[in-house]
Amino acid sequence: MSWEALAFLLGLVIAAILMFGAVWFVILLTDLEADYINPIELCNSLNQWVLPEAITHSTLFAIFILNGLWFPSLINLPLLAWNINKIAKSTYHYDPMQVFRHVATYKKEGMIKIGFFLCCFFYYLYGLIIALIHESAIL
Amino acid sequence: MAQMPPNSTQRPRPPPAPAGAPRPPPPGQMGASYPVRPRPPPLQYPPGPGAPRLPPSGRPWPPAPGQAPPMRPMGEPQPGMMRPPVRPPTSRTGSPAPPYNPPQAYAPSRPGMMPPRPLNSTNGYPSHPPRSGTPSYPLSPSVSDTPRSPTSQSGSASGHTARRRQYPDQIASVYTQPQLQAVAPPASYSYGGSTAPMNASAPAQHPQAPQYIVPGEASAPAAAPSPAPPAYSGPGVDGMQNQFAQMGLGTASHQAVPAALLAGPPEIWALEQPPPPVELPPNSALVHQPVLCGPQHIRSTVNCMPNTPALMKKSKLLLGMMFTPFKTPEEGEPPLPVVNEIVRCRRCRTYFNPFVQFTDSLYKWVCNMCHLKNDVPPTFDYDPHSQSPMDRFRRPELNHAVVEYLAPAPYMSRPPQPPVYVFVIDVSFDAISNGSIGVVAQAILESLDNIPNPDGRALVAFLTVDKALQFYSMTPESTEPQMLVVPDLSDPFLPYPNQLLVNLAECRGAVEEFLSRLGEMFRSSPSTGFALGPALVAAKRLIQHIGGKIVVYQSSLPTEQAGALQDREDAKAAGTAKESELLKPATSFYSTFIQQCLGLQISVDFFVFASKYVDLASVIPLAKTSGGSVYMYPSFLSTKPEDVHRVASEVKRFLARSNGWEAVFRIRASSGIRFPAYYGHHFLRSTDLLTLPNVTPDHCYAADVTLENDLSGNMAYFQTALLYTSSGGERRIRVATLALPIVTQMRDLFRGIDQQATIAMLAKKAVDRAVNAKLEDARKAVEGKMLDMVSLDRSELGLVSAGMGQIPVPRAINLLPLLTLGLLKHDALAAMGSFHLPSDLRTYAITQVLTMAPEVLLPYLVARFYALHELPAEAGYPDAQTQLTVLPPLLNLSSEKLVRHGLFLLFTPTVQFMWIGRDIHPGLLQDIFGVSSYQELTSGTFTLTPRDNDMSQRIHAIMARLVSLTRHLFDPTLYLIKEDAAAQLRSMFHAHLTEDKAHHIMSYQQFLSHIREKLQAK
Repeated sequence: MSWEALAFLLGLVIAAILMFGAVWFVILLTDLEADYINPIELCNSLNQWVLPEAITHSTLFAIFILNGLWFPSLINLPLLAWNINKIAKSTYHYDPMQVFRHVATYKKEGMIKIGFFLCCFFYYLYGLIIALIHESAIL
Repeated sequence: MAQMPPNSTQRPRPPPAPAGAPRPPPPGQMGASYPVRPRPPPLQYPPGPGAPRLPPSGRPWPPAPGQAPPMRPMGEPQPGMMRPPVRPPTSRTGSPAPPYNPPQAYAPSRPGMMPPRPLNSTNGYPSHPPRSGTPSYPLSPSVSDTPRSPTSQSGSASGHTARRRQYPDQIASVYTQPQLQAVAPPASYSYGGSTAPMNASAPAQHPQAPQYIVPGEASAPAAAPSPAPPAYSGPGVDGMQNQFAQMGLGTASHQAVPAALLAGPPEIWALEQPPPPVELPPNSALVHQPVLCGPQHIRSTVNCMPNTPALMKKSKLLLGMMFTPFKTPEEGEPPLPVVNEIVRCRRCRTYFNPFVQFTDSLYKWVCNMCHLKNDVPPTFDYDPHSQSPMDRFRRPELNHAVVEYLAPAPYMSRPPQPPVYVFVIDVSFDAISNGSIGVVAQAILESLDNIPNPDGRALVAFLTVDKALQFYSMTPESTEPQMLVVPDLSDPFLPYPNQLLVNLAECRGAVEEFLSRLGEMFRSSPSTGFALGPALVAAKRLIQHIGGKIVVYQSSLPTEQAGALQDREDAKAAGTAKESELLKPATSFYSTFIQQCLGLQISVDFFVFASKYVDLASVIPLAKTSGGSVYMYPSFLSTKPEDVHRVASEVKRFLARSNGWEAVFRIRASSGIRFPAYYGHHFLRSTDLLTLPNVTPDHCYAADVTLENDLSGNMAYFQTALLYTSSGGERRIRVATLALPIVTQMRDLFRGIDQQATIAMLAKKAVDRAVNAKLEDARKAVEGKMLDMVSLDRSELGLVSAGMGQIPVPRAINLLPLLTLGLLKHDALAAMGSFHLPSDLRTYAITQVLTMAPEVLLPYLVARFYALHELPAEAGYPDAQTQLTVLPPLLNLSSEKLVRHGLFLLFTPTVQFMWIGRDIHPGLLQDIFGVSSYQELTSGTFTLTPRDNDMSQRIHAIMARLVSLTRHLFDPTLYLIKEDAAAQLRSMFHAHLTEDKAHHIMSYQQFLSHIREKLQAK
């Protein structure tokens, strides 16, 4: 299996994980609105996953870049930039004092991420298959 | 829609002159009625003989010959302006004001010695120096082009039918004809249109108020005296309410909104007006009399609700509510009715309130929020006390908008907690050098009896902190407290855990012994360093099983271990984006800490004695999240008696005020209404539930209001419920219900605007923004919102688009520019250019803005300014009806008002100033200060002692009334500012004169032209 196919395979797995992560975020935020969870608990559980998520995503980006896969890198660039911006401004933590004001925004972000990772997932799947076909064609 | 006069019939208005430039008095056009200056009041302290006057200022006085302003005949005893007419001297317990007739004849007269001075401009009394040179053309007309009351025949003949010019004598005659009283309600009260006069004495007052009448437009006086007691006091509002209750809503929509022009000085008197009344349709409540929730409990920025989100958006108004849920009736006010049985809607959990409806032959009731039919409990018609049937319509929850329920066991998750106080006292080097320890200890000692502790359950603990923690073990057996030092700050353990938090009543001897020695205890071994973080952790451990209050007395920057802070103050940051960073916490330690405390029902309050930077912004989340209060005394020194007095009185009041423990506060509203954001010191537990580990009567919680969809019906309802544990260990629910009419027309919406509440709300939103984003954003948002509100759709409201340079706005928002300017110049937001306002002071101001109730916040933003050397006859005496001290008329906040022979009082809730002119009458000095000459006084902080004379007592009564209007929240320090005081003191004083240019912020006139430019650019 070529490095390219491996990269896509890894991308496939990571996109699936991140997508489920985003779904979990949205579920928790909905719980908050419905008063099933209190804001402090919510923020404690969300905050510990914000950085791992960003790091995972940037790792994936790095793998694509190192393999010279320009197009997958390009589609991941906006999300990477957005993550870096949030971390640089240190606004990436969910603040229990403020979370109710921004819960609608957070949910929207979550939904966009779900959509994005879903698209990525299928694209990586396609990329993986193409890479494998390409590989077998060479062999 | 009412017809407006064509522009051609209006008196041509001169173009606006550059701000501050002298303008000629208006030429004697026919029909131009002159701004009527308030007539000289009877009591005056004239300038000393031969005193030079300050450059003339103000509006022209006396008016040009041949143009008699609408006045009563000469020679009549004249009342003070804007106040009810003078009562006969005998009717008062005190003495009438002694007039000062001859210049040298200052002699305090005995009661009833002299009659009130007749109006006589030639009496030789330069009480009002001739004025000229400031904008003098008529401004702010009261466009009451509304249909007159049908009962007033001649009113419609002269005032309304033809929009003819109104000649002064006609105007005057309006006031002398008794049957016309009804046509001239104070314009600003003409909320619903034609109403009964405010009271019988109204006509006599009108000529006294400053009037700016544009000929041909109005017969109603522009400036209404406020016959009702100033805002905040219930009776006036109630009185008005009764009148408004008599009229239907139907008339309202045919009338234009009373208008004002934004030009010239602001109509400062409007600051004293009560908020517009809530006009409920008849039979809105179950009982016949209107059931009103006073503005002291719930204050809405608009006293009606738009029916659609579109109308809301179009009106560009700020919609918000300010709740003071724990406002406790003060002495003299009736106590809140207490109800034993809780009846609530099954679905939405709304409490039974006066606005529900009975149906099914009184066996069911329909919830007014969700319209669900609920069963009426069988005991509803039965009085358990007398064990007899009772009339259900006399139940308190049907007759009062605010009631208290005794909560049964389901409302408790644990037995009600006792009052718990942990005093954390900074004893580091800074605290020793400023002397705060002794002052605090003494104040606590003196208030031990006043801590609300009805059943002797209150627990106290003391913790002193420097580099180490010192606990004090106290036992009922011994009066000798034992100090236990814990130097290990990383994980502070509790020595003798059972003897640290002790019952106040049982260990009273030890507590008293400890407090009386505390002041001297650390003097010998000063230690630098202040371990606030470890102290808080230890205090939390001490009370985590029970909850309570941690009261921190802090003098220095926390430097030890957890929660250590650095001095990050940077004077160079002034005016840059970095300045806003200084308002944000430097560490998350304190926010994390307090979030852990929330479930334990622990709150933190602060008393900060800061002579240098303490990074209040970093520790403020402690108070902000847990509902705590913050008091700050910049450059406190125990050698200054004024400082000591202020601290002592505020510490005592803080400890004596009633507290609600382990409280939650929920706000419900009719469906379609949402509260997207809340402001204040609280923790938002869920979208409509505020957690308040401790709730005090002083704190106000504000909420934005938005409409999600169209509102149905003709009333919208808001209900707040505060569940708390009283200091007596009772679990109680305080429920307040507010009903607001739903309106469909923009003009009806504008009639309900409460501009003071609007600015209070705007201020809270702005400081929130300043902390969460940037100061500059907050300033822009404030200005933008104000511009939005004045750039409304004029044709919709029936406003004339006036000539150049004038901005007609509904009268209800005539003070908006001034109040906005006051907010922009306030410490909380002010752009000071390169001048650096210490960030601690700014943080403190922000905290206060966030927590103050609107009636305290308004004077905090825009000071109250009075001339004490020319008090009207009745000022300073109790009002005959309300027994409240009558205040003198408000002055415009401009240094133009200062005269050399004058004595002025500038009041804000936290600080007050007395400005003394160099030519002040020696008699006045003798009366008030007990000195014979101006030279004997020194500028600076001052303790004004009451003296045994009429004048001094009146001034003290006025100052006491002002403090009581701000709920005694603070004990403001008094500064004497002599005319030749040091520049620093003078600038402190002048910073409060909102209409003047200050630092880099515009003067009022500049601000108006700025608004004009922006509006034209739109």
